[in-house]
Amino acid sequence: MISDDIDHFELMGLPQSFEIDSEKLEDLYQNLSLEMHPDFYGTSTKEKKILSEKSSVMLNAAYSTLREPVSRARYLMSILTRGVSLKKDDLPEDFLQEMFSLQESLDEMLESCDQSALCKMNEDLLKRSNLIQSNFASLFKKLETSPENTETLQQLQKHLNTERYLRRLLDRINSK
Amino acid sequence: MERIIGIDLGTTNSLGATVYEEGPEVIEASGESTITPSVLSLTDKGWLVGEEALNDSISNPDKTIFSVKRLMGRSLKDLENIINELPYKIIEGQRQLIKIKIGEKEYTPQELSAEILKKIKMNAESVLGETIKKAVITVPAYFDDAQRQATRDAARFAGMEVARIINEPTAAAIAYGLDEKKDGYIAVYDLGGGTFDISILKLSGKIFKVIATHGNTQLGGDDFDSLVANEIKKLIQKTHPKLKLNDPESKQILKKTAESIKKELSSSTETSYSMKLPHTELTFDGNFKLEEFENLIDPMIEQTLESCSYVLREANLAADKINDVVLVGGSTIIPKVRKRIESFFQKPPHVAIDPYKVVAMGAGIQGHLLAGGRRDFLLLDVIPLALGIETLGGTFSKIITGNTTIPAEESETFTTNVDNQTSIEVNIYQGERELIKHCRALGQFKLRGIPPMKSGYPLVQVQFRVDANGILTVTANEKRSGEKAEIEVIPFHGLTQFEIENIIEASYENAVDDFNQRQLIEFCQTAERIFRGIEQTWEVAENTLSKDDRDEILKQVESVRQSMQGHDAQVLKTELDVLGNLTRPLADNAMGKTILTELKDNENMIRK
Repeated sequence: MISDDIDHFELMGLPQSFEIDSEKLEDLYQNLSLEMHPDFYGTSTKEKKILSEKSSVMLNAAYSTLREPVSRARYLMSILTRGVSLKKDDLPEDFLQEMFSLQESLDEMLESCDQSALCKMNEDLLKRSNLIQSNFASLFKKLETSPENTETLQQLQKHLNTERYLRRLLDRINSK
Repeated sequence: MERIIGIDLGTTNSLGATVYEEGPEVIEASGESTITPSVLSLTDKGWLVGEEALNDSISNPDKTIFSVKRLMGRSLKDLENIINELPYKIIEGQRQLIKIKIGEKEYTPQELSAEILKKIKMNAESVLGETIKKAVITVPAYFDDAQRQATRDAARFAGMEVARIINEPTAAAIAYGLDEKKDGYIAVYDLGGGTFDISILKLSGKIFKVIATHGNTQLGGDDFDSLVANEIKKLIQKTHPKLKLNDPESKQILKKTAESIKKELSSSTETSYSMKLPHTELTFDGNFKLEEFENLIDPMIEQTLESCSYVLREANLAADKINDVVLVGGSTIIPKVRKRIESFFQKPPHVAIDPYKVVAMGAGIQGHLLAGGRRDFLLLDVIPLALGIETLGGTFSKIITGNTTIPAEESETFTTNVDNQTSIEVNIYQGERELIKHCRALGQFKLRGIPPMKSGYPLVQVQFRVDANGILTVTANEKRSGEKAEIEVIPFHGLTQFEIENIIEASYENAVDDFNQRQLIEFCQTAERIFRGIEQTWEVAENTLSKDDRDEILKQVESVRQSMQGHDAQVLKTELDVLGNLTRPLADNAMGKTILTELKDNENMIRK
């Protein structure tokens, strides 16, 4: 059904681009699921069963990666930066200090179960995360015309790194 | 096409369903109620399961087992809150595996659950007239890996292969969704005897996709009963301060009284009860008000609604975006529960399909699909809780996140800390919290046979795969040498492959004997029913049969009674056959409905 090293875009039959037609993605996912899902191979040979399970795993991974803008951006970056040397842990100035103090206040809020403060922090962090994400489309667009543009790649890398720190804080708030 | 039946293996009730030519329906045995109480009791003739065990529960309290499902895949520590309410004794063995001690014998929850499954299997076989080898079994969506594995093992002990484990709310959504065929978001609120689940599904075209699920595997109607039982206990002790009421018999009577109060209060505002106090000559009479009951259970309903809020957040939906609310589980009959759901979701819940049957029917439909009977819908389910490993400082590092669509796979690379280290041990956990102490330990895997290299040099890639049943398997290989590293997974709370094989082997040895015992019990019950039938129609017999014929019937009744004392099911069956033939004219003559059904029952038995 599917070869092992096929990339997520190829598997879904979508062009390799940050901007995707999410309705189309949804349709493609549903149609492919109806082809591949192990439920339809219950009475088939063992080989076919294994194949359908394996294809479904790949399909689910492709779909969930491409559906969310942040995971889609990360995935696309991993393709675009192959063989390019970038500063991998680049972050905005003073960002780490800020994160450190945010961590500390979060610890306190969690300790004292301060719901309203937690809600407020959750909102602020989400806003910042969304702001970062709003840059993705235009930056990836730039890369489509000049793929070798390391400066743009570096900018994206920085945004993604920042987003990862914010996400970690958000996860801590929500896993409570 | 080999039939795959659906089984709702519930905390308080279990039942099977399948797809007939006319459509999906629960499997109804003749003369027996469709729903089998998930109760078993050990008698000197073997296990009684269902209604018979329930009838036996007051006189045989320390050998009657309720709510086995709450013990599946759990450790003693998990059961802290409920252990005092259980009338039977639980002990903990190796790897936190619990066993129930009955008399001198110990049983794992899996083995006891298997007895309930065997009963459903036998019912299905006698109704459908074919051997059942495969089943779709439902579990609460919020069951973790250990609980799912335990359910699968129980089925194996019952002589069935699990074609698929599906989540109860998802099964309900299938039965409901295929009935209504309306696209949109469905919320399934499932409050059963021992567990609570809330799931949000999106139905679009042929696909049922679970978006998010949440719940509590230790909250259900049983807890409502316990609250009521506790109240009554306090009242009794006010009047009779000396009574401890802690023995199994008292617990059982309190439980039964509480259950009937709960039932009564579903349709009235006040109910009176009267209970005999065990080991005394006393009876206790009292009243229970609906308001009192509702106040008692309200905090628990509140807890379920908190789960509803959580799941809506996970699904990124507001409550008013839900198109339909489907109710599942016996406890959703309670008016207060319905009222609170209605105000939470701002719409009346859907109650068209019997909440007792809807899960089994969905499982039956899924079984039909897996058997190749249809392919016009597809269920895409998720794992309820993240899977991951313990990392430095006791933190939980997620490898597969919660609410990921299954089947799914992720891999993680491990290395060594010391030169020439050839093995690595990793602890596997499941949960949504930051620290492993708040998550559930599923087991430990040991990687062996790593080629000796400098520390940090070997790269062992470990694959975590969750199959379509929501069950985890772990495999590994060393990337530098390309060698397949050996991996051994030691489950906590569960059975190892070796233990499973031992139990299955032992059950083969006992299988013939078990079968004889089971048949003996069933034939005895049939005989009792026929005796009752004869008694009820004896007047007719006196008018229509000659004295010789009547004497012959009485003589045969005696022979049957004698074989009932014996140990051979086949002998009893032969005697029952003769009695069946002798009483046939009675059945033809008597218009009494009872005897007709009783005798027909007998024929079914004999045909079998």
